[in-house]
Amino acid sequence: MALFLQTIFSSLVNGSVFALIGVGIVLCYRSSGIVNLAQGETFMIAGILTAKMVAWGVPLGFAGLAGVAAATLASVLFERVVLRTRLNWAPERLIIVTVGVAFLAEGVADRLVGADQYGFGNVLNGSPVIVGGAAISQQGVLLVAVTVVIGAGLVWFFRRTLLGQAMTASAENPQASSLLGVNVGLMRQISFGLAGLLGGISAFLVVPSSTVTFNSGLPLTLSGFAVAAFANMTHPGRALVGGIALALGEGFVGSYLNPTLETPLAFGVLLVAGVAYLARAERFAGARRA
Amino acid sequence: MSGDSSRGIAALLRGARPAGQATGTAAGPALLAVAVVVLLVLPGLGLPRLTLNLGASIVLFGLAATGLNLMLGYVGMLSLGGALYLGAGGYIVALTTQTWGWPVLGALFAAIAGSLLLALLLGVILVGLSGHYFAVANLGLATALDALLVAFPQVTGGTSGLTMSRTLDLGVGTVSSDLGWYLVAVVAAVIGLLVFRWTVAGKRGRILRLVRADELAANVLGVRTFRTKLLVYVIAAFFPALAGALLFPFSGLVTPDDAGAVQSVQLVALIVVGGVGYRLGGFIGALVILWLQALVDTSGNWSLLIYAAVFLLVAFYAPAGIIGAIRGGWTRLVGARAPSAAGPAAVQSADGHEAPARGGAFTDGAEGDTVLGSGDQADGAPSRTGLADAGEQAGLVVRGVSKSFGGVAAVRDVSLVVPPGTIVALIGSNGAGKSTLVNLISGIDRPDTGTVLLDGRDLTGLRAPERTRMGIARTFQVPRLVDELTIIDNLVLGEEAAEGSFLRRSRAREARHRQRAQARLAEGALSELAGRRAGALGTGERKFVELVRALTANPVVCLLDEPAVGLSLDEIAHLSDWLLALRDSGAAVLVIDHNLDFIHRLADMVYVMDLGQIIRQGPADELVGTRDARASLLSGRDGADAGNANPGKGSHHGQPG
Repeated sequence: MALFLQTIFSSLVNGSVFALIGVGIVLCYRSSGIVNLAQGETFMIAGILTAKMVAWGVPLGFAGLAGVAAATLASVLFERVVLRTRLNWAPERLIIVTVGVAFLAEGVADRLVGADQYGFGNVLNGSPVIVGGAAISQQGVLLVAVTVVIGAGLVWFFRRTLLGQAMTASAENPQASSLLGVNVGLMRQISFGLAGLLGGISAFLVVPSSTVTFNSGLPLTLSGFAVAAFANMTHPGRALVGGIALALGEGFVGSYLNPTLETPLAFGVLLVAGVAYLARAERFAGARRA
Repeated sequence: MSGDSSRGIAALLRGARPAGQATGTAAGPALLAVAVVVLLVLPGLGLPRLTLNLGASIVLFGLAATGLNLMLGYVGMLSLGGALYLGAGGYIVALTTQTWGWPVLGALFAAIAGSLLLALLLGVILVGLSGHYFAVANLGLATALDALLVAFPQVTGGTSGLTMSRTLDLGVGTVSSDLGWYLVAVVAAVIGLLVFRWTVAGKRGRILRLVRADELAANVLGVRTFRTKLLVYVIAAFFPALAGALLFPFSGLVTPDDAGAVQSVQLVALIVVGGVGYRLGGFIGALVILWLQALVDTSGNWSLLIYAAVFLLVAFYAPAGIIGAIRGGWTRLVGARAPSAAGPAAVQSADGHEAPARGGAFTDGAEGDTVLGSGDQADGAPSRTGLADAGEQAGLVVRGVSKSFGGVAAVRDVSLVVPPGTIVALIGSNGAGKSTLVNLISGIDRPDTGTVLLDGRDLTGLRAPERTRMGIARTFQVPRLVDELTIIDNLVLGEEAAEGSFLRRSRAREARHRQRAQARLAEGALSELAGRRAGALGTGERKFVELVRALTANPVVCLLDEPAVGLSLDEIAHLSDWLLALRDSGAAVLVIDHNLDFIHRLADMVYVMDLGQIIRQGPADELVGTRDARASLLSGRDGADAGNANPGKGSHHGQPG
């Protein structure tokens, strides 16, 4: 029972990170139609910068703030400098560009900080919460809570607020929204900014328990994409659920079978599920309207 | 082959055309020869740090990337998981030779066969995915394979991988020196280039371009797109499998990372840098990136940064890659037109032979044929003799077909009959469901209820390509041609898309298709279009060409969605003559149009559709023969349609019968 609960707890923590990255990818896709495979790099940037600053003696709070801000800024700049002028490119070319940027970020990080593992302390250092013999750290509780609040907040934001609806509109039909007075470019920028923010927050909360290296981004992006694909690239709420589900799947495989099988099995299951899900949506002839 | 170097360069440039251009077979061997010479001479040039060892790596990585190039350049399938098959090839060789003591040749064979089998299994899952899902699913699988290899250390050696002997016993001799390895790599590259050339030659290349340009049109023309893409996916896996099977014995070690995500993305970077769609793209990319790394990376961790920087610079500023940039510069220097604007001078059929001059002997000879659908059902066309049942209605029969999109009933319980040798018109306002009905008949959409019969055979469960192969052809409101191909190639596609498998190709048959297409164009007085690229045509011309393409396969039923819209009066008269000739040849023709004069002149029967239902049906004379009849037909409709219906007051053509 303790193992069972413990698996759920740690899966909730891992799932929160998957969910935050996945929601970030959803936000980018909604606003630009681009699959942002550089999303995980915001995690890496925030994590490493915070760790470095803490090592230089900056208080954790400030360092964390700087890290999150850097991740947000990087994401906004990425949209502004790299993507904005190239939105008319073919989707596969833009995917390649986002991969290239992810590589560039890793390459620069590799040069600057090397291949070491970096970490920093928790914000909440109280004793862990014990339930039924299983423990979850206070920081873990915070991470899960933050993720749920962010997910619920985004769902509310897109459904209920004018800005959220403007963002939805500009995602679904940029031209028409632009004609109706929605500033599509601004919407896109806000979305990428939010995505960077989420990547940064997840790093700030989870790096203390997991550490970060220059190449932490790509694997996270992959999990995040799986989650985003589960959400059909459009629903932040569903991405949240998907993230937790993916982590639970991995967690139980790890706890009860073999920890090294987590990734392959989870990906295999997810792929099959994703394919089944997508196959439903495909048209008979597998293409757009005549 | 070494004598005439300028010709060699010209051939290299010509043969290295991107997928968008016609690739000349004539240039193929020359290109191959030049490539081999360059590969053989390269290490001897004394370039700094370009050792035989590095050369072998470059050639093998280039070979691996070439498989991705085939998929992305010719079919538009971006796989971010190419290392899957690189790693599979490497591990199979390692396991079979080291663990089970297989001879090298057997191990190589097993590596390739095993990787292709893996590609077939995964391809069945992956190939149906669209765009970015396909790209990232491949990346995910590469990650999964990487992790699996780590998960079973007792078999795979875990994270440290498997070591291999660098000696390759090929039976006829043993390879262990750097030079030997380099030569082995070159031979593998040549095999790869030959496979590449075979895969994109002639019919196969045209079909791949059709699938890339417009998957729906490909389906409707009879291409089994899923099967075709699956085949390409499996063929593309051959390249990294072969490369992997050699690369890791060569380096003496294979690790899980070699099958993983980073390696996969690096392979994509190679073709982006070299030039997507150019046969040598992967090799050039590997040369540039690996050599740069070797020049810089003596100390410190520069390699990833170099990869990323070169990759991004090329992706941003030289979208056609290094080969594309060089080619562009070369053509600008020489003063020829840029490849993207390839005009008549650049026109060459995808088979390499020049398109025969129009009005040539053959065309004259063929003129005696009746217009369409006569005589030449010789090859490929499915036999359609005999009705399934004497009691069944011949031609096209639609029975009680309905289709809803979400909550909207686009077509409700529609039945109609198009007998052979008749023209049936379907009219109705925009949004009445006419095009949806045509989509249901041609197999683009599946009806919720009801059946579609052709000569008594039930087509309802068949997909679009199968229906086309049974004799249903259609055109679209907005013509769907492959813009990058010439008109003649587009027409040839009309026949070969629906015949046999993607892989089966016969030059003789291609020549026949070509000649027939020429003849068809001549009949339509369109010969001057033969060598033009479809993208350069005007609306009317595109409509005619699409019609000719639909008719080249001698269909039993033709579905024409607004064939006259956008045509001039002369063109409409011309079109009418064609359709009448088509009818007289025995085809069943269903025409959607708004032009009632046009309809009246052509149609035997008219169906009127409104809000998804057939509201009236009857002989054309009765429904659209007189002004009064037309007025009652359109009563309750707004002026736009009525105006649309009489654009020319057309008394000078269209004799009321």
